[in-house]
Amino acid sequence: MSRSSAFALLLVAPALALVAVFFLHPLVLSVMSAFMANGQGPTLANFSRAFELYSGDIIFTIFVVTSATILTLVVAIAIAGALTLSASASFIAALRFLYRWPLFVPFIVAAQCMRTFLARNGLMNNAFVALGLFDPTTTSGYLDWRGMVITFAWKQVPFVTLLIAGAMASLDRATIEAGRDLGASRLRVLVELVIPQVMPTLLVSATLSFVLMLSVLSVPMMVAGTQPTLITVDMAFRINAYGDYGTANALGVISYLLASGAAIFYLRHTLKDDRR
Amino acid sequence: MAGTGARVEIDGLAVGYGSSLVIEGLDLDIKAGSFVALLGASGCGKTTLLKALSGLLPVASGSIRIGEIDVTHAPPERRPSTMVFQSYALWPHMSVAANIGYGLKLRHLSRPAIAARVSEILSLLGLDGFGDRRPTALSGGQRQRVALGRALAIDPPLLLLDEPLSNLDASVRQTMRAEIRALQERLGLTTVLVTHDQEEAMIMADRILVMDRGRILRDGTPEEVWRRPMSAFVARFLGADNGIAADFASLDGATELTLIDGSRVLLPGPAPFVGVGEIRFRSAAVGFGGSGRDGLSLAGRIVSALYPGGRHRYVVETAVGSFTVEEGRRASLGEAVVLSVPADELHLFPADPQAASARMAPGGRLSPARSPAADCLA
Repeated sequence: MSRSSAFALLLVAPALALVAVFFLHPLVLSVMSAFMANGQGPTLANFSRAFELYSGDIIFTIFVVTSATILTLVVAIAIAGALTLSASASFIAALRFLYRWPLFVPFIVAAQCMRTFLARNGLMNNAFVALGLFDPTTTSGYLDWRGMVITFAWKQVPFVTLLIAGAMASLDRATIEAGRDLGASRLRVLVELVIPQVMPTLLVSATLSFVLMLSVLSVPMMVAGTQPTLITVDMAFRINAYGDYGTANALGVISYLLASGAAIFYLRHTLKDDRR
Repeated sequence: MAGTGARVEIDGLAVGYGSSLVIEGLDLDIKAGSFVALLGASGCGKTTLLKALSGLLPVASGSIRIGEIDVTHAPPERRPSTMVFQSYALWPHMSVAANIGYGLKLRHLSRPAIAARVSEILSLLGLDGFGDRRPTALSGGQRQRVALGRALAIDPPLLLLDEPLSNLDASVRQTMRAEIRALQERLGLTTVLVTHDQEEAMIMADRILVMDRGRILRDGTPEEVWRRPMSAFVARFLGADNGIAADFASLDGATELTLIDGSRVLLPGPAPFVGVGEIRFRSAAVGFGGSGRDGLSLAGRIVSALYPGGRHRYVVETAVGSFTVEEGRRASLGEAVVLSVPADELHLFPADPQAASARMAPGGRLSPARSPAADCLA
């Protein structure tokens, strides 16, 4: 090893050590513990219990997180598209000012706000009733999967918008003008010319959002306390109620696999894009 | 397909960015089927005018008509013009054929009709077999052709070219100039070209508008503009780099110039104006040694010698300033030479801008009624 590479290694050593101690070590431990039961292993007993008890929640988790990712993307694309294509400077300034606020609100605060906003007698229903859109006797709360999807999207939209709007802003402006010039409406320009050009950023932000939402505990706990719920709640329950680290870690491995699935989906898509 | 070009009428146009107007009160009438070049340095308003024509920049006041349609406040997608962008602005995620066919798709043509038109355009531009490629897999010249093809595919009544050749290397640029010009004549397209390249404007256009600070300073055919620039600014922009300040006086029906070193020069013909003025001439118009004709003679010494190929380029220092000279003869640094410029190559302008603007006709154009001694002493 040459002197310079030894020096380089020395420079990154503290960072590497931190990653090893605080991330790799617990990760390996938890994965190992997922394959051990009653001090014996390797075994799939934890996984069979996890699937037996929580297969419904696993599917529910995939459904909620995927829906929230899609909703996040749709809203973020709409906002970023408006920021990029609108001709009204005051509209852009107002939108730019407003859309970032949720970035600074933690998930737990967002969840608490949504509890009062989406409840049966919450602000949203009251507003609709006051507007004469709903009959007060037939209102229902949204504190179930819908509440989770809305909360996740509300929290993630600014982050995704920030990434996508940045990517759109760095496009050659003339590629947008060329579309308008040939006769395309703003919506067509967005769908056919702008989105395909920012697809890599779109996929990165979708993957990051998916993985982040998969790991949130506060939102399913506070917005939808009842069954079915997300597997983060199940993990916490196995540990807090039974001290059952084996099943909790099995569920953890499953959520790792879900996250890797999202990452593989992203990588395959970008590699395909590079080959073209 | 010939004769599809539309007439363009611009009346009292004011346009700018935000509250600052770049162009104010501009009038312009472009004949159907003509090729107009907007020539000027950056910031002169030529691209602003092009963007106003395309609808990419909102018009503050005035009106624009393309053919029979008033498009003053129409968005770009509702105008019968198409633009070729400086950066080509091809869509990297689409094939060459999809890029060219996009405007046709927007016009709801059937797939076979689009395919037929795209292959027609591809062969018109010498791009046969390139339809399935991505723009990123093409050379600069090929991309430029695709950008042109995308604009031509929809048979635009008005074609707008925003410095389309500035990113190409010199040899490709030469070819493309001739190709675009030939295509424009064949298709009869009304074309507006924005460029800062005087040679490009001269070669391609049949009418040149020299612009500065949002105004049209000179409007004419390439030859008229070249031979009679009408103002010191236009002369300088069209290659008359050499300038001498002089005092103008009339003497027995001739023009007497007093240069700053006190020497006097007599030119034939009456003085175009009296008082302080400026003489401008091109480096190619200067020769070494007495020409034997009426004109300007200046003794000096060579301080710089370059050989760009063809003729030599010298900088000669004289008592009244230094001048660039293009000469066929080889000379060495420090050599004493006599510069001579024939009288008909000298452009004479009054230094007082008030005097210059007094001769301006409405619309920023110079009045053609001038003394024959002015500008061009032929």
